[in-house]
Amino acid sequence: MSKLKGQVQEQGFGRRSLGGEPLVYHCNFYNYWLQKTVLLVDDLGMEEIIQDAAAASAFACLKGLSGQDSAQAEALFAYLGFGQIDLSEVTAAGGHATTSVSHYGQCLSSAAGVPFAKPQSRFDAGFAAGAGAWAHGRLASGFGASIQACMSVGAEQGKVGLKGRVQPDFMQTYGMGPASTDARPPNTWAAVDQAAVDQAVQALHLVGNEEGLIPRFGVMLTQHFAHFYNRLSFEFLRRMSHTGMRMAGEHLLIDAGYRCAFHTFGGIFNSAEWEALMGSKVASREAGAHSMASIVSALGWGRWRLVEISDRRAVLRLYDDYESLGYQAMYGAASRPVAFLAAGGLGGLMNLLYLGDVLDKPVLDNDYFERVFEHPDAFAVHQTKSIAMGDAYSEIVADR
Amino acid sequence: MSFERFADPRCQRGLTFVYRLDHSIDPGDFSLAIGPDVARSKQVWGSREVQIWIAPKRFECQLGVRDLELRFMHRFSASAEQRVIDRSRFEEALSTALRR
Repeated sequence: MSKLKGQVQEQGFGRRSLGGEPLVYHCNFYNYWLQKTVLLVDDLGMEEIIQDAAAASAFACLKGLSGQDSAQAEALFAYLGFGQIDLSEVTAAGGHATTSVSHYGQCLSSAAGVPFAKPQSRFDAGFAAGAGAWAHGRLASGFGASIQACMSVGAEQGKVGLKGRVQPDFMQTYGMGPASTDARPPNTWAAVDQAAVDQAVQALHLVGNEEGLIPRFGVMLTQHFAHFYNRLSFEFLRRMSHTGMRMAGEHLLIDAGYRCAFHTFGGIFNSAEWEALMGSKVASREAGAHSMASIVSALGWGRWRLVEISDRRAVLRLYDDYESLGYQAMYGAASRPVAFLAAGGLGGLMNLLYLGDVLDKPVLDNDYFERVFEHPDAFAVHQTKSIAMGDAYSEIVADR
Repeated sequence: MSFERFADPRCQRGLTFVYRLDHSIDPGDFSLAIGPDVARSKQVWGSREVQIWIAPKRFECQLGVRDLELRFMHRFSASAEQRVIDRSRFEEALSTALRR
């Protein structure tokens, strides 16, 4: 496997970029739930959006890195934790790509808990199309991709067919987009030194291993394209709005965030990595919440600061959250707040800590999920400010 | 036997096993026991120095994440047969290191 030429740039407020594209860490659970969510309604045409968002992101990232060749694209796929892809059978006219290891093909099943009826590797297909197009001098839209075999439905390896196409209107990524404002995140908890947490998370070296996967914090991580997540979420919302179901769409995206919180935060709280990083600092639920906010702030999601927290209410301020910045860059000013992942994440975090006693390391199974997240006294979340609406920071309130 | 094995119940089901040891082992002894084809490295996780051994596309071991604990993680690429062989080899090496 070739080594990636290029490296992640650390920017303000914990933002991270590669080849000019913002990256965020998410795990197999969120990747499963977000994909499942946006595909819930059959006739929205989201399969194509998933593939095109992956193609546009891969193409833009590779364009921002040096080297116009397949080896660089294969190295990128592995470095980001998506697995191993072979693009050697792709030419300027098309061909096929194969995956011997695939995050989407193999790691989503543990999140679903049941066998899949349909292939899950739409991201891989899009990546192959975008990477193939870049490596062979075509436009980002230059290949149409079809999944010919997928490990999520039992194939021994994944296979994506690529065929040349002409598609003048194709989505663009927005690069790093605008930085929000000069507002500074407040220091909200003396025990957390954000710079030290950033450094400690970096030292974990969360990049693809020799298989191209990132098995850390008890989950399978990916360093993913923020553009990909945002395009899926906001295009889903836009299309739901056209059918008069915007509010339902918002609730579904927040629910995906809840599930992300349950598994990702739950997994982190239970992980050896968490203990190693936080040690004895986490002696209370409040300390747990602040500590998790500091870890999240090192994952490319923007800076999370809990400016108020009690067993009944929490107020979270977000500085440069990737959802609000992405929305603004893609669609302009928003009329409503758009930090859905973060909203679900805060609700999930509070429920884990105050209803689920997650610091006692419970078994995170479905019974636990139902008991905690469907509790009649569970926290509800409200977005009260948004960078995408022109505020200096985004703000989410969780209360019960 | 001076270790206990637990399957990690979380999402990497079937891939990760936690071994609790009744006394500490020397990383050098474990390296010798597991063999030269398993690459050794180390990372700093917060206040801890973690020793890591990787047999590419087969398994990874981590020592030092918690006191008296060793984590063994199969790789996705390893077949079911290979996993049985690798875990047996790992446990044999661990037993050897514990005896030294």
